[in-house]
Amino acid sequence: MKVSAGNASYRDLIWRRFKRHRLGFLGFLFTIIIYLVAVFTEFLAPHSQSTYKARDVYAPPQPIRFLVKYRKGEEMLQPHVLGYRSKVDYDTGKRIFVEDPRKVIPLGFWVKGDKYNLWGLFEFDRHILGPINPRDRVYFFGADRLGRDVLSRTIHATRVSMTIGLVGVALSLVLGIMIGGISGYFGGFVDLGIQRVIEILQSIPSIPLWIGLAAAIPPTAPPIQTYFLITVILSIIGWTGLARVVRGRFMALKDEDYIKAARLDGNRPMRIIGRYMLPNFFSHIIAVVTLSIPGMIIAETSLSFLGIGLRQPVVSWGVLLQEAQNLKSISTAPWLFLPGLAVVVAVLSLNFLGDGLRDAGDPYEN
Amino acid sequence: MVLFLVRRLSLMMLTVFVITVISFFIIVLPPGDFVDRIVLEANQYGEVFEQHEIDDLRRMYGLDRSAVEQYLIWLRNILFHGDFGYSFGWDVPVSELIGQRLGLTTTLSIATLMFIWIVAIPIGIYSAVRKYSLGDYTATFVGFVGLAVPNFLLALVLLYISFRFFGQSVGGLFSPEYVNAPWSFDRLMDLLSHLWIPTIVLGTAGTAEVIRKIRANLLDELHRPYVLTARAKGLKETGLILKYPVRHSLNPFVSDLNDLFVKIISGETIVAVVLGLQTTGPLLLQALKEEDLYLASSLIMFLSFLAVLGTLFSDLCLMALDPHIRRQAREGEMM
Amino acid sequence: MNNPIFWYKLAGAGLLSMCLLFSKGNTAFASSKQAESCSTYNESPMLADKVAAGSLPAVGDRLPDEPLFVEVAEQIGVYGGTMVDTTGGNRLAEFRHYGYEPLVRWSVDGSKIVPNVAKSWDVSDDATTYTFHLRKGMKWSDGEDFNAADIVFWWEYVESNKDVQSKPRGYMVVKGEQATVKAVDDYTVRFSWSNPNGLLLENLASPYGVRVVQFAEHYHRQFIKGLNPDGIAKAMSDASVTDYTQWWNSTVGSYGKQPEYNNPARPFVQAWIPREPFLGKEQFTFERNPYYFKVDTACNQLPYIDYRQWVLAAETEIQLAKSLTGEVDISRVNISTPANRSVFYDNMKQGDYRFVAADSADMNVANFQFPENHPDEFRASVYQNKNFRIGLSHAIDREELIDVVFLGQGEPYQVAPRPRSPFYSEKMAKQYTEYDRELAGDYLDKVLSKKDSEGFRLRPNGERFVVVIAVNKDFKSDWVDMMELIKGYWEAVGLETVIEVLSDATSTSRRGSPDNDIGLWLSENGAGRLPLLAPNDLLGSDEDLEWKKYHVSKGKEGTEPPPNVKRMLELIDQIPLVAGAKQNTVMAEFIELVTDNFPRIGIALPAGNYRAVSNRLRNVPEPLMEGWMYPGISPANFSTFYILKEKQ
Repeated sequence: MKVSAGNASYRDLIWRRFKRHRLGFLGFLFTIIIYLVAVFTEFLAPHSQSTYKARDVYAPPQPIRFLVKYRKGEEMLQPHVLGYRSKVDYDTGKRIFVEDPRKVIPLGFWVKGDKYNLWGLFEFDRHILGPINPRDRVYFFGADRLGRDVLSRTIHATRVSMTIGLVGVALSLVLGIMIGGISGYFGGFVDLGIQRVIEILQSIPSIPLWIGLAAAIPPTAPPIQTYFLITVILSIIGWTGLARVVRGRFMALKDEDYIKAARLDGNRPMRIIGRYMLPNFFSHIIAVVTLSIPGMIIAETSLSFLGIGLRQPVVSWGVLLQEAQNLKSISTAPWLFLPGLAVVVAVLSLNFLGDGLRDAGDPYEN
Repeated sequence: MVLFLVRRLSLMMLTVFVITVISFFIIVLPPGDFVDRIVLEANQYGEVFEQHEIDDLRRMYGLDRSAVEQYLIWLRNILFHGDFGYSFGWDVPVSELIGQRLGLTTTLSIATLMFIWIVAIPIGIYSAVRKYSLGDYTATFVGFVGLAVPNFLLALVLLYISFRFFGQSVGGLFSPEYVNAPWSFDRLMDLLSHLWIPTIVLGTAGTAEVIRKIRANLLDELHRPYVLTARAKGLKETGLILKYPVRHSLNPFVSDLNDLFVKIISGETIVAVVLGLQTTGPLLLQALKEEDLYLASSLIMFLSFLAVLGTLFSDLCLMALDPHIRRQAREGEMM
Repeated sequence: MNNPIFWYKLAGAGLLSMCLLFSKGNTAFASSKQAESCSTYNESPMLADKVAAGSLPAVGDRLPDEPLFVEVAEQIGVYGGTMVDTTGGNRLAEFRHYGYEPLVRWSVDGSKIVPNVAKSWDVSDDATTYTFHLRKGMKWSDGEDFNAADIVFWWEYVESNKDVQSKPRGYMVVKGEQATVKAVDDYTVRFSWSNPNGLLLENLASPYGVRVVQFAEHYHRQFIKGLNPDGIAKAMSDASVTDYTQWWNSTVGSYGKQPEYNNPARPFVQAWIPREPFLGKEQFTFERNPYYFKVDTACNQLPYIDYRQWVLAAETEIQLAKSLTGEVDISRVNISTPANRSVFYDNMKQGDYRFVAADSADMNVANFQFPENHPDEFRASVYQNKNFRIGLSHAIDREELIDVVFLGQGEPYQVAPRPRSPFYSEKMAKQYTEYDRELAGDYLDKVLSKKDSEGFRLRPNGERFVVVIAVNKDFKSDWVDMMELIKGYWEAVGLETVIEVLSDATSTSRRGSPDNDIGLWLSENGAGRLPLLAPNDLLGSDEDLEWKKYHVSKGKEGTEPPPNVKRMLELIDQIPLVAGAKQNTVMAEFIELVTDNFPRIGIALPAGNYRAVSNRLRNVPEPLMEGWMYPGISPANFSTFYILKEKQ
């Protein structure tokens, strides 16, 4: 039966509108892909994030080759990369890497590799793509300054960077709705006080606030704790925008008839807020939330750049970019900026997704 | 109306005061002070301070007093002498440092703002008018890429390109021969030739937001009855769009202007650090890292004051433009 | 004519005149030999103009009777040009690139102490009295005489003046007795104590000695409270300052603090001096000092370069970029790292600079210290056990580390004086540097024999014994890389290692905390006689506070150290109190004890240092030398650097 605007459900209408927004749809696809990477990190990465080979410092990316030439002139089809022979040249300050045709490193799917704990549940050692011999190393996107595989590290960083965004946004959401809702619903002095606090928070320049809050993190804290505290810092600044929006909407809705009716009915304020007011702009909230995540991701990279964010041994895109942030990397090892590409893709995808959601959010607009 | 202004101004003062207290104590409370920094840095280069030298230094900088005492002295000096204190790291009065950098910061901010408008407004309009077209997607994509690339990364890459391939001087908004030279046409050209990097980096980060806003506002406007009427009347499309909908959709700009401005001023820190520009951002960052107490507190106070002022300014503009809001203000609803 | 005596006389006369002829001819060709004196001097055209205009005395009157003759590294230079440098905004006069103009100084290669402001000196046999001879006719930059009164003034009214400084710097005090500084005559000044001062010259040649000749009596008397009470009271109230020390430090400054050079009215002896206040400025320039007391061997007054300019650049990548574009004439030590060498190499043509090799005065690239007085008793006992350190040392693959982090430059080395130092000991330098995991395991087994299923060593209670190394990533970025490798080596022999990466900020707050675990630090002062100046750097740890307390309080506080540590601490006290052969004996005993004790683990001898020097800058000696107590690269005679005429 053909669905028309007349008899379609709310959800169907939104989905149809959403699909029309092509960029938004693309964003949606890429976002799913990235989060899948975050979930299956260890399986997708050829190596673990910290194994290194000292002689492969700043090794360039190895192109994948397909035909193996044998001495007799025979050729065989076997995907592989060629290992490196390297030598340090003090005069030029470079380590020269030359592909050695005798060092054939065959590649395969579902190979055994570095052991890992899948989601902390059970040990596993298979990787989707990698060298068949687990002691070999392959650098699809080159190696960094300690000889660690850039691709593997970038993939591992995906998990941290994408979830920091989530956790931070979730905290902001809760804070924003609660505080904004209270402010908008009760009005008067409560509103006044909260607005002043918001204005103060928004007027302090962000960087001193970050540094000040970061100084409160004990330096001896384990990485997980630091990670958590960083997300708290990010959300402390993020909630104000959402709170203002929520407040504005609440103030507009407060005078609607159905809300008045609900109040007269004797409903408690929290119930009114949760049951009647929130669903009204739920789609708007979703959109705003989606659009806040990329902000968190970028904020995390900025914090790492300033030196107050995450640190080794935790890897996030910010940490990786901070390691690459020097002229030497640009001029002699540009593959170190792969995490930057990852950031761009993630941020763009989330942005387009959010735009698409917002556009699709009000199917009764026309 | 007057009552409104008085209320707002007094609230502003309160806000700024609270911010000064917060910023001062954020810096003072963590363990370690400026003298510790000096000693640490010196140790890294092999110098050894004897204990009495360290004590002397503390006395010299007034850091042997309690935090509250230091704050009150600082506040008193500002209010009664207009003296913002002394910068430990630079050994000059704070006001000298801020004054010098203000000009460049303002120039950069204005240039960025203009860049954003010039790029974002046409893209936003086009994107709204030709919704879901290929052109829409392309333009939006371009506008958003700037947002997605981390600023510090883009700045470093552009820096490298500028000196490697264009032979430009680095580390400032002027080439060495023009830094202290008097103003001239050549000096202006030199400034522009250096201004492009930070402007592009900061500008591209800001265009996405603006494109989005314009697009949304214009889309709202375009569905209004008066537009339908104008079309029915046979007015040409371009003129029609530019005459009313666009102007109306620009109204919210007034309210967002200060927001944008503040974002630029605080956003320029990272870019200016990477490019080595002498603006207020890096000054504040260094002051915070070194616990250069008075410089950092004064700068934070100053920037916060600007932000709060900006809010007031935009509210006033809104009132001037929109009678509804004027009424709200008069009736005391709007605080 | 037939008289043979006549012919002998003629031959003799002929021989004599030949000798005279050749000797005269020799002096004409000896352009590179040290000229004993000059009949006339040459000066920069910039100054010659002023002399012609009558605003400056003639060059011969501006120079002392016996100026300091300086040998040039390549050839006699040409006058003119501006040398460009970067500054981070603080500490302009940090002595490594500017400001090093002491009473006596290090030779270019750091092997001995040579004259600078002082033209010569005598040391009494018992080293209790040092007599310095100054240069008659030497002038401050404002034209006033420089004489012994200035040095006495420095001592009485600045260094030992409680209003200005609570105590004088340690080298001027021997066994609690402050120095007696007297002017024997106008150009002779005497430093004396009742007991020997074995290291005065070395300290005077260090950055801490420059202050001796920084205070012109005729100018600075106005700042001394006792000499100008009314004037100072007024100045202080004008500036709203109530504390005299605070006012002194912001007005006069001392020891390399910013205000010291911010005052153009102040007289200096340096080669370039400020003409206007420069603090807070993005770019500023110093001008040549017309009264500079040095000349080259061809009787040209130094310096060759007219101006020195500094540009503000706080970020390391910007400093690097400025070197790459050729804007800066000598790259700073913090950016001239092994990692950056490839970037420098790639841009060499465009930036028009060359590599100049540099030696380091350091003993080691880094060292590990083990807090032997750690509050955790078990940990302290492990650290006090030499076998623990030996084991860890054998576990380090130094060759690999050098290859990865230092571009293959350097050799495995412990914390010990450098090969050419008179205190070099091969045993001390090379012991336990072989990479041998099995041997390492054997040694560690003697200390921590219990291991868990994964091979990690355990405490008696069954918990893993974990060591924590804190690294300040803002200080040396290659240390972070080194520590990653070290972690790998030590965990391979069963020691769980945690690397804490800190920033500058957090490093500061952790100083002196008794909980600090293994320390990672520099090992400086390894070249020539420098080890004498910092023997503490060879000891166990800066944080062995309990033992040090005991030693300093003579047994009233703290814990008694073991006999060998006690002896080492005693020897350290003795070193500055003896001189000559006795000093060498004391030092030798100290070195032997340290070797035997093996308190610190070193990694590698620093090598492969370099600077990027722009091609227009000449007379830069190769190799340069880095250091602190030898403030490399200042002693390289910046006053003899010159800029090629066509590139000025």
